[in-house]
Amino acid sequence: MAGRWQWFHRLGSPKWFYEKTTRWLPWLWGAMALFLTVGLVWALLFLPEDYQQGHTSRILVVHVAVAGTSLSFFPLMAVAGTVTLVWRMKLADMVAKNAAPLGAWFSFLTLATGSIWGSVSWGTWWEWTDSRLVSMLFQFFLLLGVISLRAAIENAETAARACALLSIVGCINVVVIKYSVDWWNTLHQPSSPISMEVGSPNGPEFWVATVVMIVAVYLFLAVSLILATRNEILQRESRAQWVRELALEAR
Amino acid sequence: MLDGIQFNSLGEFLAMGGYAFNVWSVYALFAIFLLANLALPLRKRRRILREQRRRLAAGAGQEEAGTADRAGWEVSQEPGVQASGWEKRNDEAASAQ
Amino acid sequence: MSGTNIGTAFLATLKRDLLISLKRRNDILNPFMFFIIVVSLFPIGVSPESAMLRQIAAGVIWIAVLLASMLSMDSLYRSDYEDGTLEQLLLSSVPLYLLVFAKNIAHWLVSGLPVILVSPLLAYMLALPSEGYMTLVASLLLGTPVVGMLGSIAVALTVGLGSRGLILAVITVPMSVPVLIFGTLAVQNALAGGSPLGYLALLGAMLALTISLAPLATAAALRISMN
Repeated sequence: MAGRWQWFHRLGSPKWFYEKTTRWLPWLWGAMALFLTVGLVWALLFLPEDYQQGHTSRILVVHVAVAGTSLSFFPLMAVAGTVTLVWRMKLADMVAKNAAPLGAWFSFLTLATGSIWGSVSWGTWWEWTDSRLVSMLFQFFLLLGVISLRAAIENAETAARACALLSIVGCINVVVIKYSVDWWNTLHQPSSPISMEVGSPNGPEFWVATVVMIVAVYLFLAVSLILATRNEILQRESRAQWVRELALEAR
Repeated sequence: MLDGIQFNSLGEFLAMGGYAFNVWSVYALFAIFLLANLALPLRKRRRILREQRRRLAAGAGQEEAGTADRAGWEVSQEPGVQASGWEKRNDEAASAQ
Repeated sequence: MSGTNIGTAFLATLKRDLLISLKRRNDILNPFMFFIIVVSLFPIGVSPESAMLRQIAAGVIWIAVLLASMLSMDSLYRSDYEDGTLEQLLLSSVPLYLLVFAKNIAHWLVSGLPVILVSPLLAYMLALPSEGYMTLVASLLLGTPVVGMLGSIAVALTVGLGSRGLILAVITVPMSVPVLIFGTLAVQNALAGGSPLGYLALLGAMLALTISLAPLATAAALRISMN
């Protein structure tokens, strides 16, 4: 029984996580660089010009990859929040704490690239009738809410558990918002209901490039989150012997 | 392999069929976003380790002079480490296995 | 715990909160006045033309309700926190979420209900056609408790903070978007001659979901905030 759960408790130990990620990071960096290079070269040079959108379909490769990845933040934070609340595992909170700002950046980039793409395809920088942009906007607001709650509570443990609860509530809420905005939009569809789907009959070249880019962005998310979590560990565990030794070694 | 490239000249590549601003601003934003979110944590890591070394050096000097553990006290003033009791719990759980 | 004891505690909490809000009339009156003032700004700021006003009437009233409830919610657990009642509630053997639910009901009776009662008058001033009145009132009846209970989670999370500022609104307003969507869609559909029942049913579903989950989340949030 104890053996089966050992990995789980080890995972809760920041030291264990730090040592494991020291070993994983080079591989993750390498894989990220590989996928990013292939994705970028493919999207910029080899992606065939779309008969309707011309070269702007190159924007979509980045936009779709970032947008798809940014949807994973609330589920990620909700899972981390559950672990924080149920098992009081501090590592889960360290991940969640750094995931919120990164998720806000992802959401913002999704909105920015979407609106740059829209300025060509829709002829306008902002379009309320595109439900994806609207629900992404509210996901952005909800992430800002989690960040400001974290900033407002001084006690680290209280902040961790409060943000954990808010992330779980927010995760349910994001789903409800998504469906209600979709519904709202099908009823408000005005004269030019151009959606992102126009880009889809592009053939496999487009989708393969996008899938490569999605993998690259997920790897980037992993690397960036791990780096930030390791910093968090170094700060919170600064009194631990192994951190002291590490600081002296890393001269 | 190179036949697949969609552009005949560098100028054409940069012009992006008239959508240079849109395409290149998206890729610029993307690049800034990636670089910032990788470089900032790395820079922060160096800063944390530097401060840690400075604190250790200060603490060692204090201990030689026979005073209280000043390094520990200073560290506890850092934001995010107030809940030290809570933080220890997981280590104990891990070592108790 | 016997069933009667839980019922008694529930009713006692409800009664106590209603009595307290009678004594602290300003906490209730100010948001109510704010609601009326916000609504009356729209004809001045947007257009006094009734053709324009009747289009935006339902949305304006709903948005003003949302903003006013942010104001009224601010006091939801504050006095209980200050005088130590909240700690007693946490220690009580009665399930906390039931007491939280009683407090939510009391708060809705003094802050949500007056707003709903006055909404037909404001709808008339905003030139909402009479077909929309019943639907507007029904959508508010179903939607305001949802907003109140969602806000209650956020208030509970921030209850111990000295300066919570706008965090409450930043958290709660985005979460209330689905209610706003279906509340206004119901009225617009009624005005267009359709049946608003579908949207009202969706609001009802949200109400059922919030009644079953939000008091639990609020209770958990209170325990977190009170350590």
